[in-house]
Amino acid sequence: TEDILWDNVLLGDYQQVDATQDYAEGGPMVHIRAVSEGGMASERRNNPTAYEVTFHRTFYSRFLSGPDQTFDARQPLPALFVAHWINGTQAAFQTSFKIWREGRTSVNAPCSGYVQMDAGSSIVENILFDEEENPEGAAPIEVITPITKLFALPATSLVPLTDRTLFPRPTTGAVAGWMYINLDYNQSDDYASQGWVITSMRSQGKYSVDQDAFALGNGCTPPVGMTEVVTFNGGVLGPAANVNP
Amino acid sequence: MKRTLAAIALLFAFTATASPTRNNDDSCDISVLPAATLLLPYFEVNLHSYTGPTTLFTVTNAGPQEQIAHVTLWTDYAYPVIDFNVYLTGYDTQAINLFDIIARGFIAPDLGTGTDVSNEGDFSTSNARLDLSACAQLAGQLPAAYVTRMQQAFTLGRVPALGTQPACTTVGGIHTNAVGYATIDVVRSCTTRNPSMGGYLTEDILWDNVLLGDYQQIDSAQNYAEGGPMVHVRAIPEGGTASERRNYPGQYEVTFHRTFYSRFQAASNHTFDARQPLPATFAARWIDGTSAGFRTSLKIWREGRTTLNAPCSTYAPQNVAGFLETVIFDEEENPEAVVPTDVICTPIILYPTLPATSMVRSNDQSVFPRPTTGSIGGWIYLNLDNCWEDDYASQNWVITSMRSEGRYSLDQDAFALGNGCSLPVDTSEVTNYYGGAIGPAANVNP
Repeated sequence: TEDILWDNVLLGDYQQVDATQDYAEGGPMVHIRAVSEGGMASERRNNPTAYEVTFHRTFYSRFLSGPDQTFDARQPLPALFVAHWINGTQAAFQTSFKIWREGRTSVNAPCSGYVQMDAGSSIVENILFDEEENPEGAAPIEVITPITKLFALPATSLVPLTDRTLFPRPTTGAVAGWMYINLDYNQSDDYASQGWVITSMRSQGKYSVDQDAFALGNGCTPPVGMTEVVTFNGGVLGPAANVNP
Repeated sequence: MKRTLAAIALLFAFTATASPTRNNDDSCDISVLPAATLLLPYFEVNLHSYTGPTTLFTVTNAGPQEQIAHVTLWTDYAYPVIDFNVYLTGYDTQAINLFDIIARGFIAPDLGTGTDVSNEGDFSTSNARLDLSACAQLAGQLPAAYVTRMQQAFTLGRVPALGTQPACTTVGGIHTNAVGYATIDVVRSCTTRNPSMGGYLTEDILWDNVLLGDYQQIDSAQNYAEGGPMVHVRAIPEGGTASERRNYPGQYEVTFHRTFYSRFQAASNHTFDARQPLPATFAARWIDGTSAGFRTSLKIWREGRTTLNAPCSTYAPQNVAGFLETVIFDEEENPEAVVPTDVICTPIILYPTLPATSMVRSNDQSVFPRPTTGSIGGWIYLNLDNCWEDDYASQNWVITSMRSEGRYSLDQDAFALGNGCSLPVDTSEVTNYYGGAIGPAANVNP
């Protein structure tokens, strides 16, 4: 409410290098713009029309409250992602996902809150497709608020595709395909929680690439429930509709 | 013209009252979202060895309905050498190794794709808007004449006559490895046309934002791999068929002043493809030298200037063009700049020039300035517009490719300082006494 500014000027990239494992991977950081940009805290409070924020919630909303809940004006991140995977063969392909998820603690949270809220919250659904479009889906058995069963992930993690506590197993013997990931931790509330996924692929102990996974919507897209792959009355999996309410 | 437009833009900046958008499809900004067109800005393939550099890409259909993805491979002079269709069922994914196509003449081995050969998943559905009559089994093995034509085009810059296509000796540069770029569009039929031909952009393409694409470039001999997402160019607004969009222009209003494929469309309807335009100004990191052997290259794609059914003689002069400015900053913010000694439009044809696609070392002094402080890292500002006196900045894309120690390598998209709707930017104060400040583009695009 006082310290941040709203100038869209920062550019960032990262590299992860492991000399003993003989790999390097990297890419751009997630660039979160202030929309609308400019001004100082006092200017933005005194001229709300000039600095209108139309997001229903923002990147830092969980640390803000009441009329100031979108004061940071940072774009929210999406919850739905598609990630390419390849695994196995003589080339020793392996895929991991670097997954960031929005924490749930709020401002000045007590110590005990971090374990309860951020150490592991479940996700709505994972679906693994092979190259013949055969899906294997995984979702929590029961959906309660918050979802606390199965597929818990913390605020950040590196998860291999082969982790069966999180991802379905391709039953067709396929070595490649793509993964649908719904990182929302409560499909019953108004907004899908924020996430980000980087696909990290390695091969032969020497090749490695990182790339951002593909988002199927944006941070303003309404929450999406389980799909028809895992539940009888579920929706159709696909890109989010254009218009966000 | 440009300065008048800049003044108008400033006026808009102070008086704009439109609310920011939350919609997926209401922006000129390029994002990694399902798209109607994918651009692979640069590929390189060693045609003689599987261990040399090769480029692979994967196309995924993110939606439940079947789709046809039309792939066009272009030379570095933006000459369309070959195009083919890839049939995708709902949620299908297809990997393509360009070595298989250019060196061996085989598309999607072993069976190719098509309605007769592609598996359909449990949740894949049909698409009533498609004409699949010619999609039963799409070309696996290409005839030898096509393979020869491809290989000569991408390495020698010439093509022999083939069918109705005439011979041409100026379709590209000369390269040891095959060099070019690729575009992939959703289309309604297994067409034999490409974007440079009449009818493709008015009858063949569709506007469904469903394609996802990524690429990897691997060189076993040099021991590196690098990759990233393709450029996802969305159709805005999306949906409909060509006839529906013509009959209901209000429902499918395109607000871009120009689009990704505008140069292939008549002036009276030059935004019909509705694809987002790409930006002209970029910021790219660089690091070079030291005992770690750092090296940075930029993979640069630039919009060609040839138009529909362009004659052979126009590819070299039109699609190898100058650019406005590059400024290299070291880590102490000291700038060194390169601009053409003279700016003559249309287009800028004086030194330095870049073709439609290339990979250029950051220490290539024929293109980039040299840091004089002995610095080993910093960033480069690129204004790749090919003519500063017209209304729109030409389209471009830049990938930063960094390598080290002969074993580490990564690619990442350079940072755009605006989008394809941003106004053209003149030379900066670094090189021009009256120039403007380098920085992010203004928010409001007129």
